[in-house]
Amino acid sequence: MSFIVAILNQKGGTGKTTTTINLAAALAFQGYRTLMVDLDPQGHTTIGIGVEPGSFRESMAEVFTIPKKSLNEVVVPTYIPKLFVAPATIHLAQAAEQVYSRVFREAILAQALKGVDFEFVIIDCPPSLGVLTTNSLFACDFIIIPCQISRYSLDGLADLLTTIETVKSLGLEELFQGDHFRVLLTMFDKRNRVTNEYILEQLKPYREKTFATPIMKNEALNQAQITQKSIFDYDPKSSGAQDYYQLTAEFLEIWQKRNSLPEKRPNLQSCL
Amino acid sequence: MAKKKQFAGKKTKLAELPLTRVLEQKAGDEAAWEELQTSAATGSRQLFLSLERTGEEAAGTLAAAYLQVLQELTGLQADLEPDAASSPLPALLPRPAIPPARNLIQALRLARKGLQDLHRLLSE
Repeated sequence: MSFIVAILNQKGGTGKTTTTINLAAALAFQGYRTLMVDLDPQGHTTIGIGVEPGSFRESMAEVFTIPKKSLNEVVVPTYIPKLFVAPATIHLAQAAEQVYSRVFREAILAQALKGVDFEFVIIDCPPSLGVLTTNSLFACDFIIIPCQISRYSLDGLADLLTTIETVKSLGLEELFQGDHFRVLLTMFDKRNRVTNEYILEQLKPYREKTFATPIMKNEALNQAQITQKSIFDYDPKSSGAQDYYQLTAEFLEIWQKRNSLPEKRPNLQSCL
Repeated sequence: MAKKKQFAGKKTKLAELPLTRVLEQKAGDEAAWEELQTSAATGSRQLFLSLERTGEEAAGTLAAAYLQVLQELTGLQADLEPDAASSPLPALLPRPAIPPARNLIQALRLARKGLQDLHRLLSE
């Protein structure tokens, strides 16, 4: 059975796509069959992993518009063995408009994911709280919330936690006590001491729900987007690669604990 | 004005979220509990009740309340008989799984104050 993870924050530019690509790539390098689901009509996960928009016939738009369409029918391989993507194009925006009239519209993705044969499914969500995002919330087992060190990110986090509570039908205590989500600090810059202090103080009640690994601001992560490769292929010695490796290790520990699996430390060499 | 000072009192939506308040309250209770444990473990006040080891399976709430009662009684005795010889606390106090309830702490402190007042009145 797949472990389905939504990378989610309705605020734009927080590092959702970068996290999707690099976490999924690291998992694939560790030997896990991994699927990225591009739910952002901008299609940046698709392009970012080197899959060109003209190279596939069907995409997530068809999954949302054709009833009972399985995700298996749109999945395409990437240049990394064991890493696959369910691609998106701008047509997904129109498709999302059309599903508003459908019954059980929040469950379309969950239905389409039934029967897919992957150990991990990583969903890159659009920067909004619309029907695509609620579909991913409905389908997922775990949520990663990339969050920049900024006031607006914290406000966004508050809205998001309220939405998660509603869609997952969880009470306040359940939301915190169950292992449902982790906040991931991204684009962290140690030099911004005053801002960091303020934001981290605000996040203090959520320290147990924040990944110990922050993703530091690193230009190599930006450059990897241009080359359409994961950070492990573009610059394996960069701080970005190290950070995403650490994040993957932490993520796997959570997954192992949740599934009562024996702890297995990932092998750094397989990524770097 | 210093940049940091201008942040004072500026609350985000996150700070006002009910979940955040619940978590802050929980963290506050845990901190008070840690403080209590430290003073219980390092204090030298006399215990005039016998403390039986609480088994791991014992109810956490009861153990927390018991330890809190001991603390308050020890404190009261020290207040009323400051010259009395003290005997060391048991080396290992059991740590219940949960901190004592806030209203229990308040009730015990009120009771302690009442007993102190009564003692003062009777001594006059």
